[in-house]
Amino acid sequence: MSLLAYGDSSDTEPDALVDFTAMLRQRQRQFGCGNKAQAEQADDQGYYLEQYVLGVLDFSSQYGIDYSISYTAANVIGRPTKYPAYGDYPETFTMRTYGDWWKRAPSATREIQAQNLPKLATQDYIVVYFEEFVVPTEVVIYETFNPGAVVRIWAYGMTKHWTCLWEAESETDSDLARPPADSRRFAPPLNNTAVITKTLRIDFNHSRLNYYTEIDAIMLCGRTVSRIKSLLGKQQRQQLKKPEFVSLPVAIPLTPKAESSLESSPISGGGPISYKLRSLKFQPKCRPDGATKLHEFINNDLSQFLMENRVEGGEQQQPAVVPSICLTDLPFEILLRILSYLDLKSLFRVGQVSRIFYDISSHPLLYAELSLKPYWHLASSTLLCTLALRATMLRKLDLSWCGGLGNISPTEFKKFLTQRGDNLTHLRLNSCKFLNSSCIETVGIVCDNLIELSLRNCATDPPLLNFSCLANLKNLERLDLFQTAFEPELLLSMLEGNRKLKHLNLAFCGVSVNMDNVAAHLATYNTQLISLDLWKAHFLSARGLLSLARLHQLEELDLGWCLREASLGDGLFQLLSNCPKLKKLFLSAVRGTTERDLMHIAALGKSLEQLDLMGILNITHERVYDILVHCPKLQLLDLSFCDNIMDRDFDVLADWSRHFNVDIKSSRVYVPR
Amino acid sequence: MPSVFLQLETNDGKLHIVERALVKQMGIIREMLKLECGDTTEVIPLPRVDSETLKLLLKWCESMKSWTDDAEVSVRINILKRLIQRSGGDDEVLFQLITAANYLQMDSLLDAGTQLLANIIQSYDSAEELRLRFSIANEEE
Repeated sequence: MSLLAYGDSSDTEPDALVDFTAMLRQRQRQFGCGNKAQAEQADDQGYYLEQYVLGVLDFSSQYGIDYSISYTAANVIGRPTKYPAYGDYPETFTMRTYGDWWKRAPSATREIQAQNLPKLATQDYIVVYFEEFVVPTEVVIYETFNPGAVVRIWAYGMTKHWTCLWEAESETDSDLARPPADSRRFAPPLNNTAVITKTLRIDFNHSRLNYYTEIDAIMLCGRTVSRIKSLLGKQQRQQLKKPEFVSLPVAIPLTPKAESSLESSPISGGGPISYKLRSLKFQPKCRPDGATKLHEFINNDLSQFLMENRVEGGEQQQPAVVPSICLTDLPFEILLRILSYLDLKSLFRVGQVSRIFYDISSHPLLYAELSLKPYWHLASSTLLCTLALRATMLRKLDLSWCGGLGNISPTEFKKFLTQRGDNLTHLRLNSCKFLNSSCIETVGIVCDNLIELSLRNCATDPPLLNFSCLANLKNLERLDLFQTAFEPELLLSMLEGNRKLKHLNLAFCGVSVNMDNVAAHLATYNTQLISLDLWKAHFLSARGLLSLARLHQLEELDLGWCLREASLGDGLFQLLSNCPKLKKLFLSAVRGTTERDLMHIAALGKSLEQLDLMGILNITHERVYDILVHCPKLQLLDLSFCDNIMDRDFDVLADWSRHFNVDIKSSRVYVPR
Repeated sequence: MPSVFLQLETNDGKLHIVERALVKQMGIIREMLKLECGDTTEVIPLPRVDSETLKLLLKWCESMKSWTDDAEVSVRINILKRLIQRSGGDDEVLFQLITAANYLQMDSLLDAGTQLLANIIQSYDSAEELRLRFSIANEEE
């Protein structure tokens, strides 16, 4: 077994270089042999720097619309503008959802391969970049409203890998057990790391929050590295090694902490030492005196090293008693059932245990549902290749968030889909940056059995979805185009082709779509529609609303920020009369809503569970009380920014909230510190 | 009149007298009873189950009796864990229970057992640790 395991190049990756070499240096000092060249190499006397966000690369959702300055992701750029004030300010970054209201709505979906998700699953994220590369010592997130949603912080290192700097421990972590309602400078303790970065990704889970969480700014503090230019140069010259996948048996280093910690777990076959070294991505420099140094190390320091890193050397215990019935004695179908509960990472690990387990763990039945979303930071073309061999019975696929920054190639994705996509019923490609129009075309051609297609946050210019690329799909029941631009003609032809459509999300679809036309189409071709999200859609008028009133199966309708000042005419009345199953109705900022409309809501909204009346002017207490009395199933009532509902009414609302068992949201003025 | 008690014979020849209501949880017995039209004084043979395991199965049925609806998986897993711990805490006990539950068509026990085993497997960080835990030979060496 050779310590010079990987090739002949003198390539080292900066992460491992700084850690391991520093340790060697320390030993050399102890034993009185210095190596000046190495000492200089690891010398990084940069300076300490605090910087705010320079720009936003990506975000999964935002409350406002791109060109606006209210509640959009761009508000996270620069210095905090509101902190330490606490309250609902448009000058902050806000995400589209909070709490569990969307999970309780008719449009809720089920996660694919749910066992892959960690306890505190990421619901939303934002990727931001800063000006200077640093080794992070602190990341500060300025929360100015409903703090407590941050669950993970990632850094994109110069090695082109994502490293997790911090992760919320569990549900009982104090950070997520609802911190007090006050602005917060959230700076959790980061893992010990040598990553050099200027790009961060923040993961959020807001399922336990009372209302929207708002972020004012993000600060990255750390030491700059003085020899950054030479490191960058080396980066450009070498071919970067990504985590390697051996095809048989497959090894995936899927622990987020693996790269930064010396105590990482072994990842593939071989003795304990090669485990350790492989996980360190150790590639020693071959200097003239390198062999001597190595020899000295083996003789003097190896045992110390082994002890310090808790490698199970020759300490394997003999099993006391050979058991009469072994795990492998269980019948095949039971083992298959047990493995079906495992997350993907564990499944691959089990596959390395023995030949039998390799065979069982690669059974196609275990790959009928595949989700790489929780492994977004590791998903690569190679992984797709490996999975393609196993997933011969693939039905549901979720590649959301994967392949950013070039890790998955469009060609590989198309190949995967062509091989395995013909029986797909559910396909989620949210925020997949590798998608191009040719990929979408492949989806349209190969995946004609699709029932659900989700392409959230896939906005490009020109729009990805154009011409007739998806016109072949005729069985869709769910189409999610949240935050994705598309050519209106394509959408209209898809509506005509998919008569069984039940759920449609066109939130943030942009200015070019004439929603009245869409509504008219829906009323003609998609009468089985159950949920419709038109958040921030333009060009919806009373005429469109009347069209929507012909969708008698409608249970959920989100008209937030549509219509605006325009009069609703008869529209809302018709809608409420003809859609008795309506459970969720969002009229956020639909200022054309009149007193009569509110009376109609009370009179006809028998099934209403969630009602958002944010920003509707002139709502009187009578109308609110009316609605509370006559809508027995109501669970959520949002009265934020209703100018007639004053801060002093808070007690009355709290009373009503208890009495009618409805969660009532209202704007409060928070006294500045 | 159908008897309140049934006789089960395990593979080691022992006879166990059990309450009919209790063993209704075992799918295979339900099937047999349907065929025999309810009243039987004959002994029901269970060639694939031994006495120790049957005793544990009966204890499980006893715990499940109080739940009219199916208890949540996590609750069942906890009950199962305690049951196993009280009988020595060996993997072997769990394997026997799972195999028996499969043979006797006891879905709730099978669910809980397989899920428990999956949780155990998921808690290990490396293939080597798994091999040690379940005494599986490393084929590469």
